[in-house]
Amino acid sequence: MIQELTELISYPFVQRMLIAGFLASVVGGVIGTYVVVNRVVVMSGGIAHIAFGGIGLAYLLQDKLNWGWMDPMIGAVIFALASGAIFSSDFLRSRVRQDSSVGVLWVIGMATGILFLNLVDKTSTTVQEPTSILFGNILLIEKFDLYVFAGLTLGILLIVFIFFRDFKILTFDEEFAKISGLSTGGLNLLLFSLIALTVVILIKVVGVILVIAMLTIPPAISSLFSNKLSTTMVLAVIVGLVGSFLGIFSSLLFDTPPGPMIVLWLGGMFLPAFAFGRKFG
Amino acid sequence: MTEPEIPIKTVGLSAGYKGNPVISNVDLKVERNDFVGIIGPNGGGKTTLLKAILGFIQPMEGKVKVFGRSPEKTRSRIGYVPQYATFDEDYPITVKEVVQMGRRKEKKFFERYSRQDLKKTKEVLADVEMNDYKDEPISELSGGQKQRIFIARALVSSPELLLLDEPTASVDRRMEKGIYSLLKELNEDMAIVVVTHDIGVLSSYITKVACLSGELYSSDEPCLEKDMLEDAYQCPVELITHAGEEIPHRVLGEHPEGGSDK
Repeated sequence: MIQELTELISYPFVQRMLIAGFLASVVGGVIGTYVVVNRVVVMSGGIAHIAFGGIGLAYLLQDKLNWGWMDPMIGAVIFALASGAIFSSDFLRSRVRQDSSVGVLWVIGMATGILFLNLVDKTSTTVQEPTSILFGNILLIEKFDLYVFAGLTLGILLIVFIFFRDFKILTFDEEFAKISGLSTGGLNLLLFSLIALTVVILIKVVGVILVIAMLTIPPAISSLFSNKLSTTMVLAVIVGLVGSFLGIFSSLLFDTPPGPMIVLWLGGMFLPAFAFGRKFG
Repeated sequence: MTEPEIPIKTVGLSAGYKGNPVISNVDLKVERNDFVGIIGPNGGGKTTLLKAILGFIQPMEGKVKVFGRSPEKTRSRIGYVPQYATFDEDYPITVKEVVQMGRRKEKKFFERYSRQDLKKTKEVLADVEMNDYKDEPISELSGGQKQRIFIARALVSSPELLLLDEPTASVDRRMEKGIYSLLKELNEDMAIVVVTHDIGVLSSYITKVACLSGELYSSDEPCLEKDMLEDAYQCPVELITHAGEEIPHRVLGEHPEGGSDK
C-alpha cells in the first residue's frame, strides 16, 4: 500500500491532482467559511450552475466565431461573477424572494449550458463531456490551470486578509456594518466575487454539482469545533485537505472518479463530527 | 452651525416602505440628557422611526436631523442596539470580538485594533458586568447577557446618542431592571431613546415619554397620559405596573366611578 502510494506520487499527473486538491481545499475552506456562516450555501450552488451556462457559451463561441482563446473557464468566470453581482445586490433582494431568484437563475444556467453544448459542432471543436463538467475531472488539470489557480488563490487570500475585520462585521450583522460607516453594498459585491472565483476553481476540481460539497462540508464540520471565525477557517482547510487527499488516493487505488470520492470522504467525516461536535452533539 | 446641536429633531416626518407610510407627521425632539421612552403597539412604527433616525430609510415627507445634520453624516455618533432576535445565534464569534466591532468606525482602513481599543473594550464589558464572559462564544449566552453585549458594543465607541429597540424583550424581570439602571447611569453622558411595547418598565427611569401608533402622541412629562395611550392603542386603557413592587400600582389616575364618561 505504502509502496503503491509513493509510486503514485511520482507521476506528474498525480502531483498535479494533489496540487489542485491542495489549492481547492485552501480556498474552499476559507471562502466556504463565509458561505456557511453567511448562510449563502444555496446561492453559491446557484453561482456554480449558472457558471455552467458560461462554459457552454464559451465552447459555442469557440466553435461559431472561431474564438480559440475563449477558454471555457473564461466563460465560467464571467457568468459566475455576473451572478455573484446579481445575488449581492439589494435591487433583486427587495423585489423577489431570494431563494426564488436563485432557483430561476440556477435552472436558466443549466438549460443554457446544455443547449449551447448541444449546438457546438463536435467534429470541429473538442468539447469536454457534460458529465465531466458536472462532476469534475481533476485528471484533466494541466500545468497552466495550476498557475491560474495558484494566482487566484493567492489573490483571494490576500483580499480576505485585508478585509477580514470588515467581512466579519458584514456577515455577522449587516445593519451594524452600515452604522459603522462600512460600504455594505461594496463589501457584499466583493465577497460574492470571491465566492464566484472560488466556485470556478472548484468546478475544475470537483465539478459543477459537487462544488457545494467543497464549500460547505469542511466549514460545517469545523464550525462544530470552533468559536472563532479564523479558527473555523483554518480547521476547514485542514478538513478539506484530508478529504481531498484521501479522495484522490482512493480514487486512484480503486480506479473511480476522484470528485465523488472526495465528496464521500468529506461526507463521511461530517457524520462523526456531527455526533461529537461541541455545539449540537 | 448656528443652532446648538440637538441630538434628534424630526419635523413632520413620514416614513415607511414601498410607498406606504408607517409613521406620519412625527415631530420629535430629543435633547442632551433626555431619556425618552417611545411606546406603542406592535406595528405602530417604532422600529421604522429608529431606522429613519439612523438614515437607513429616507423620509417620505418632512425632515430628520441628528446633531443638526442629516443622519448619514452623523451616524457615527449614534450607538444603536437593535432587537437581539435579529442576530445569527450560531455565528462563531466571541463576546470580546462582538464588542470590539464597535471600535471599527474609529479606525482607518488599514489601521488595526490597538491596545487602546482593547482597554476600552474591557472597560465597557466591566460596565455591563460581562468581563468574566469575554472569551465565551456569543451562542452560549442567555438573552439578557446577549443584550448587555450589544449595549456594550454600542457604548464602546463613546456615542452621544443611544438608541435601543426593545432592549428588554426576552429578558427576565430582574435582568430588565439591571439593564434600565445601567441605562440610567449612562444617561448622565448621553441622550437615550428606548422604544418598547412594554409600558410597565419605563416609567421610573424616563424623562420624556411618547406614544407611537402611526402618529406620535408626546408629553414632556415623565408620566403616561391616559388620552395619549388611548389615542395610540385605539381603545380605553388602564395602566397598572408591577415594576419593582410586590403589589401592582397605578401610574394613571383612577377611571371615573361607574364609567360615567361612556
